[in-house]
Parts: sequence; structure tokens; C-alpha cells
Amino acid sequence: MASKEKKVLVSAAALVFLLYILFAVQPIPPETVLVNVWLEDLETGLGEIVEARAGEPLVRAGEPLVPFTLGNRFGYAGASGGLVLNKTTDRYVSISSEYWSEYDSAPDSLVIQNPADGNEITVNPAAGYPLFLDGKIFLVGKDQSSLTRINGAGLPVWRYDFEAPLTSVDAAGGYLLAGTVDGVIELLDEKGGTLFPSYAPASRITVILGCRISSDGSKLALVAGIDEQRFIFLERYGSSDYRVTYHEPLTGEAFRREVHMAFINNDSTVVFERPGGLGIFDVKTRTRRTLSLDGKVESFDGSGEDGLFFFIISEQEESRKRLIALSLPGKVLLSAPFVSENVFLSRRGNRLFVGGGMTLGSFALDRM
Amino acid sequence: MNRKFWALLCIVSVTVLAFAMDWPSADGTIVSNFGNNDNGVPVQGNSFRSTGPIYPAEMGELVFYQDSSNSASRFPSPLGSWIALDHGDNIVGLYSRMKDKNGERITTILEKGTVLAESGRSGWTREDGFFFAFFDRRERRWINPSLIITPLEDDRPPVIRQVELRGVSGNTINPSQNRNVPQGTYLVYVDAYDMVSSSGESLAPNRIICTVNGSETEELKFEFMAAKGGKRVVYRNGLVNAEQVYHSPPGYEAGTIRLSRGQATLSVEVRDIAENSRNVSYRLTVE
Repeated sequence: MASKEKKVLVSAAALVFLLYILFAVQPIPPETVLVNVWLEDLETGLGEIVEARAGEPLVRAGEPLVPFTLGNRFGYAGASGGLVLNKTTDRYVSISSEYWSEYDSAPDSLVIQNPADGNEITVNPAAGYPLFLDGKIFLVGKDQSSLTRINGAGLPVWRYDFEAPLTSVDAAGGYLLAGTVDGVIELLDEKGGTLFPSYAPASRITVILGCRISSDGSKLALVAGIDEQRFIFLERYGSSDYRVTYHEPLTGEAFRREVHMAFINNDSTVVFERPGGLGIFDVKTRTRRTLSLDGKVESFDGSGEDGLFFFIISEQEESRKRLIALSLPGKVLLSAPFVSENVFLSRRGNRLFVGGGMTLGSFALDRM
Repeated sequence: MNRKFWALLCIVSVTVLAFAMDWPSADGTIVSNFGNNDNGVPVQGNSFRSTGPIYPAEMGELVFYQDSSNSASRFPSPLGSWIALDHGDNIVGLYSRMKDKNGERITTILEKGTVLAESGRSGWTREDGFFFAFFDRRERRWINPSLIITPLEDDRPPVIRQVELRGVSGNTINPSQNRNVPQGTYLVYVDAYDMVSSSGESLAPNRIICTVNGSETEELKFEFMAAKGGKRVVYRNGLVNAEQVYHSPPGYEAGTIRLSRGQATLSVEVRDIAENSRNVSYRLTVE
């Protein structure tokens, strides 16, 4: 009898275990880890360090280039490894994946270099500082209240004068979005025609502190105003009618400088600096979360499409930095402290590029 | 009634501000001023050569600041290290191209005697100093700072280098050399500058007035500037595209005149902000 009961108990336990295995147990989610691919010392140059030569492409077999600036260094890293251009400068530098230029504070002319083919574009006279956005060349006018589009021959295509100095600029999908110190936001098309000038909702002081445009130009995100400072989200209806579909007062001490903002994860999310942390706005559900941060945002990277978002903050002691990886909408996957005065952060596909001090490194995002 | 009220309010505001505001630098020298012709582009404020501290023109509230420590900015700033202060009455003071503050904390309310920054170099500049301008939020236009702050002492009249008439067909006439002029419509180009006693720099005058036979035809005023429809505009008997008025090499299109057959007297008067004036007249035979 006792033996029979024992058998029943063992069978029942086995059945429960089997049912648990079949229905209750879930696989362990893969963890995202950063695997170091290469590290380069920008001063001693452990990797291939070359100077740009006119007419010679920097790009290797069509691989994408990652522009970087770190301290008094700037250049390009190859996505697969190593430095392609590594220069020291005490002049001003504008750099993007498509162009770079090094220039004096009040240049008479500009030489803009194309790293992909080694060609140079000369802009003479230089009516402003070069700005490379959305694969295009613009000049920010001397008074910072005009933008001039420059073509491949270095000639002006159009010029747009804004009412007041620019505080924030973004471009994507052939559109250019600009905000000014008097609280006006203007959206320009490919030809420099204005699609709409809009005044940020009334605050005691109107000013644009950040503006970003989605990759197709259909959505705009702003941080604007002082008393109240707000996050504002606009969406396009029809061809050029943009309407506010979400806005939210941001409580806490208002920013009075440009803030970090980005459309990330295939434009499904907007991340933005807000007092005390990070705002994470879900475009589809129009809901917002807040991630509290003990520090100031130093660098954003919003290029990923896999629900991961990387950024760097500086902590109380400004040389102490922290690299943070978020799994959207708001789970912290990684929080790695390091010490550096300067930082750099960028991403190409599953490669993360992080710079601090005089070291630049590439890390592969692996899921284990 | 409404327009009169606003005009009166504007005058009262500017008058009140004029008694309260001071130049941001005690030892600064103006090297370029509002209205100057910078290779065909109008200058919207005053550039100072200076070495000392920069103060707010009046107590103000911080609206915006930018310096090299702010990594959020996506564009290179020709204004360099700059601060915008709300001085009340919708006047925003712009203090720029100063020594980089590099993250130094700035208080929200800045009293008149507070040091904003040191003179220096940042942004588009070739020498130590700073750039200073006023923006009127209500009227959405730039204001000549010398309309609000007492201008520096100046007893020298402006200088007129050259006056030139340009016909609609593109023909140019120098009226000081050629007194016989075909009848028609002409644009009047004036190359003039002002020189403040203490500075020695060539500055923009305050107004250029064209008259024909004693009747004023047009007046170019360097008092306000704005942007309308993406174009910089200046005031010359109404709003005129700045590209039309500002020419390179330096010169101003002061107005359009119509000369009919007979004798005509063309006068060009150039005044500075201190009301010193220079006048040239040409007796022309219009054929």
C-alpha cells in the first residue's frame, strides 16, 4: 500500500514537472553584451593613421565611415575597424559621414572634403560656417540667423533668412527644421521654400530649445519655452499641415540651452532631455515615460533599429561619465562608468563606437 | 487709435530703456555697427574690440546660452559663446563671440553689474571683443542698439565717398564728373561711412536721404531690420529686400529717382546717429 502511494506521488510529481516544462517555463532572454572589436589610441596611433590627401578616397571598399570628434582630434573610423583619418586641430571642424571641413574662425573661403571620393568643394567667399545634415551642405550665416544651401560645385542654391538667431537645427527626408531664440519653428523644403512658420505654444518666454524631424519628415518634436517649458509633438496631415498631437509641460528647473533630442528606433520613439532625466515618448501610443538620471546627458545615439538606445551622461563630478544602454521603452541593460573629459558615441548597425580621453573603441552588440 | 497707442507705448518703452541701459563694455571700441555693409550683407548689431569684462546692458533674465560645453548642438555657431537676455519690454539682448564660458554656470537673473563673460574670441571673429545686438520680440525685428543706448560721443560728420546713378539699362553715371544726364529713372548708389571720433573705424551712417529739386524721394534708415518670408529686409520708405540695398563692394542703394528733361538738383544727405550730417548736391542737365 505504501509502495503504491509512493508510486502515485512520484507519478504526480513527474506529471507536474512535465506540465511545468511544457507550459510554464520560458526561455532565458538573450542578454545584450558589448564585445570589444578594436581600441585605438588617438595619440600613439596603434591603428592605421593616415592624413587625407586631395583626390584620394578615405573609404575602404565602400565600407561606411564613422565620423568622430574627441578632444582636439577628429577623423573617421572604418565601421569594420581602425582609423581611416585621424587629425589634430585647433581650428573649427564640421564633420559628417559625407563631408568634413576644417576652417578658421573667420574664414575667407572654405574647403569641404568628401571622404568617399576624395574630392574637394571650394566655397568662396565663405558666407558662414559649414553644416552637414541629411547628406547636404549648408552654411550657417555669420549672424547665425540665415542658412544657405550649397551645391556640389560650392555655389549657393538658396538662402533663407530667419527672424532671429538659430538655436536648433535638424534635417531629414529633404526637409530642414530650424528653431530660433524668439520661439519660432520653421520647416523648409528641398528648395528652401517655407512649409510653415509656427510659433511654439505660449510660454512666458518663447524660445526653441530643441527640434528634431523624423526621417520621412512627417513628424516633428520640440522642446520649447520657459514658464512653461514643454515637449511638443506635431504630425503631418495632408501635404504640409502639421498639427500638435501631443504636448506636455515639463516640470522642474527649465533648460535655457539646447537640449539633446532624437527620433530613434525607426522613428517609433522620441527621446529628449527633461529636467532630472530623460523623456521617452512612444509615437504610436502617444504615451511618455521618464527615466531619472543622476547626471547631465553628454551624447545620444539614435541610429539603432532594434529597440536599443545608447547614451552617455556626466555625473556630479563632470569627468565621471557613464555609458547607459536602454532596452526601449525604459529598461536599463547596461550602465558602465568611466572617467574622461571628452566623450564620443556613435553607432552603425550592430557596432557601437565609444570614445573617451584619447581612446576610441568599437564594440559589437552581441546577444548571448 | 490702436496703432497710435502701440506707437506711443513703443516710444515710451524705448525712452524708458534709453535712460536705463548702458553699453556692455566700459572700454570697448565699436569696430562695426548696425547697418554696416559686410560684403553685401547687413550687420544686425555692434561688434566691439575689447579686453575687459562684458556686462548686461540692463538687468535681464537668461533666455538661452550656448558655449563649447553644450554637446547637444548640431551646428557650428558663428555667434560662438553667446547669451540671450530678456531685458523686459520684449527687448532681448544678444551678447556673443565672447571668451568661451566652457560650461561655467550662468545664473537665471543677471543684474546690471554682473559680469556676463570676458571679452575674447569665439565664433566668427578675428580679434578679441564681442558682438552685441538687440532683438524686439513684439515687432519681430532687430533694433539699432544706438537707438536704445546713448550713442558714443561723435562730432565728426559722415563721409560720402561716391554717389553713382544707375539707369534701368545698366548705364552708370558719376554725377560729380558728368553733369549731362539722359532723362529717365535711376537708382542712386551711395558709398558713405561714419567715423566716430574715438574709434577711427568706418561705421554705417544712420540714414541716407535723397532729394531731387528739394523734394525728398527716399530715405534709407539704419534703425530696424527684419526678415520677412525668408528674406532680410531693411527700411527705406517701407520694407525693402536687403539684397537690393546692400552691395558689394560696400555701397548702399539709397533710392530711386526720376529725372525729367530740364535742370535738376540731386542732393544726397548722410546723417549719423548723433545727427552730424554731410550733404552733396549735383546740378544736372537732364536731356
